[in-house]
Amino acid sequence: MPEKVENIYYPLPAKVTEIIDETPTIKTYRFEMEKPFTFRAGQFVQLTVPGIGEAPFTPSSKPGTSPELEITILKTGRVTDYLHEKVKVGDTLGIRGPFGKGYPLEKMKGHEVLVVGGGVGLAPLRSCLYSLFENIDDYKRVSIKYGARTPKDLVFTYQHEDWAKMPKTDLKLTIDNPYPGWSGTVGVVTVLLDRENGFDVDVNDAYVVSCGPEIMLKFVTYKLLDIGFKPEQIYLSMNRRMSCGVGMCHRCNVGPYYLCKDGPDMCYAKIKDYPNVFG
Amino acid sequence: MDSFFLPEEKIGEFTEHLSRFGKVYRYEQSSSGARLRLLSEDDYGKYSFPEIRAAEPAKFLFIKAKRKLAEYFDSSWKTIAIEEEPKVIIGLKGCDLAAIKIWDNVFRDDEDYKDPFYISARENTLLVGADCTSAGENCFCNLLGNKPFPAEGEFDLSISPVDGGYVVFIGSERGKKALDGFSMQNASQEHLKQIENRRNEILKALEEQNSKYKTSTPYRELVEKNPESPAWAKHGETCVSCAACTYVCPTCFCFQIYDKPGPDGKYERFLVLDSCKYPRFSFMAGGLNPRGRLVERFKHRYNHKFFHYHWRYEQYACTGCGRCIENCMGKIDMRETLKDIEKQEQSHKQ
Ligand SMILES: Cc1cc2nc3c(=O)[nH]c(=O)nc-3n(C[C@H](O)[C@H](O)[C@H](O)COP(=O)(O)OP(=O)(O)OC[C@H]3O[C@@H](n4cnc5c(N)ncnc54)[C@H](O)[C@@H]3O)c2cc1C
Ligand code: SF4
Ligand code: SF4
Ligand code: FES
Repeated sequence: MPEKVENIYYPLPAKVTEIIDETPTIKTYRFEMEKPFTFRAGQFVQLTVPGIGEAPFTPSSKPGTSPELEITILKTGRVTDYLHEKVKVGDTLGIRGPFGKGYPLEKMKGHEVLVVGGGVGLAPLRSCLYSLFENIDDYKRVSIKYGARTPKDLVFTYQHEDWAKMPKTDLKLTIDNPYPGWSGTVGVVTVLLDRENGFDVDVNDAYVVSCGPEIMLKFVTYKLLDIGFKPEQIYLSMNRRMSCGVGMCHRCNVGPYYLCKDGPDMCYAKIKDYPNVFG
Repeated sequence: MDSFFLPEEKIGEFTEHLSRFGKVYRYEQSSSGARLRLLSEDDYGKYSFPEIRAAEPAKFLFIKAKRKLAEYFDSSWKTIAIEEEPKVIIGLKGCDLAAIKIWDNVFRDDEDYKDPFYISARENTLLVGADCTSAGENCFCNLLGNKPFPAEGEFDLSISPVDGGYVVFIGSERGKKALDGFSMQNASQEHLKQIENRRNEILKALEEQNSKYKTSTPYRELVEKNPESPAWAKHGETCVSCAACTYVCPTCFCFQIYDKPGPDGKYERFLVLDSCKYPRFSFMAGGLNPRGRLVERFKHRYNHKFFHYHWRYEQYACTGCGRCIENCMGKIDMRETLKDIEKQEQSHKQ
């Protein structure tokens, strides 16, 4: 008898225990797995909607080991439409993973951390924030810059106050266009990297982690370089079509890197010279 | 390496003996070129040895075009011991064997993840190599460091035609065991000399026919350093995204996972081979597509084979078998594209 080996393609059952409406197009799903599940901040999973298909998501919950897991999902296509429209509390979905390397938390120790998110991009970054907050003494400071289209499109608003109260942490928000009742900053997220808008991060000391739509990542990166950051300091949560998650289907590359294996968070210095980095 | 003489009239017995290991597939010459055939007992003795590799690669016996990966949620699929039906493949040419190492790196020897289906197919297949007895017009294995005969370490057994029959080389313990109880005389010095001479002749023929394509810069460097070369658009122009090249290529294995409802309230997961030549291969939710343009997809196949794969595994994901040249709807010749990149690079430098 040949010995039994793990089937890397088998999804483990994950029961939906709660669905939180974040915005009109984004929901956070809380899952309970049969056994504790371990992941590092920034690692992602393949979420199976039974019979419909899989799509990659980075959990937005606290990294570590727990049977509970949260994933925050934007409605944007086949699998995610089904999730938003049909999936209910009590349903069983599937999870494979975790995959990828995750954020360079060790490397960032002793430095400032600048967190730049756009829209649903704050979801993966929230797992990073949980890790940073847990060991906040190890970091000089955490500055969060977050932008969305309208105030209604901001996620995790129920936690913003708590974050702003964390020691050595500040949170700045912006929305793309003026909106009735919004008295905060207006403009795409890069405006929060302007001195006039209170940007006071030490560009010589900080590491940046950023996640959001490709177009946002592009302009954030150019802006960061413009204000003095070096490519080595910038980590981007890159996005590519994925399937296997394990470096075999050879689909998710940026240059020679497979995001599922070598990312999905990539140091900009490593990828900057390859074609179509931003799609 | 141990070598024995197998007289022509004993090929049936030899094949019958190997069939104790498993079902026998054999590359055979037909009126339309070499074909990979699943043999029945009656066929064992009728062997027409193909001069060069067949149109079909052996990949579909290892990485199937479609295979079931799981039924969920059925925990018996969580860990698996797949007992792939044992097989024997007779007649794998040097380039066919070279492809296997390229799959092994990805599906078997990766530190983090192993594909249990591939590993099972691999472990249960006896590899019987064979020499090439001529140089095909599209063959360029020599430019990729491969040889027109089975390379040591890559086969269990191999056969080389000689006057009156074949010389059988023993390449592994498993190969030796598969022949346990089958008696043959040792190969003579003359037989071995005959093989050596022919191998040299064919190598020379390959070198001659490919000398005009030979580049002085390694392929990795050419592809990696010239993403903007005008040669890409020029050679990619006639590509119609048919994916014939990736289908016939022994080392194109990019795939997609596909799910559907199955029987008894369960769901089924399949692997289906895909192609980077299809516009939707890298299409992302939201509409972004880093390789939406034909020329980007054209370039990607070269990038994958000569740059990305080499970057990770320090070898090329191309064996030089020439199948993609032979089957291209757009009459694109990989050798010409690569040579042209070098020419363009040189004219640029001047
Ligand atoms: C590493 C990573 C992390 C991400 N994290 C998040 C996150 O935290 N939150 C978030 O909202 N988004 C995240 N995304 C984006 C998210 O993965 C996409 O929005 C999602 O894939 C869209 O899927 P869709 O089916 O709705 O879209 P579509 O464009 O309709 O479909 C594309 C995807 O569906 C899959 N698919 C389609 N049909 C089938 C089928 N029959 N069987 C199997 N698969 C099928 C395909 O493999 C393909 O990947 C992340 C992406 C990556 C790469
Ligand atoms: S076989 Fe030729 S035409 Fe078809 S996809 Fe490949 S390169 Fe393009
Ligand atoms: S790319 Fe062409 S020559 Fe190279 S292994 Fe594939 S089919 Fe053969
Ligand atoms: S998702 Fe298959 S290689 Fe990355």
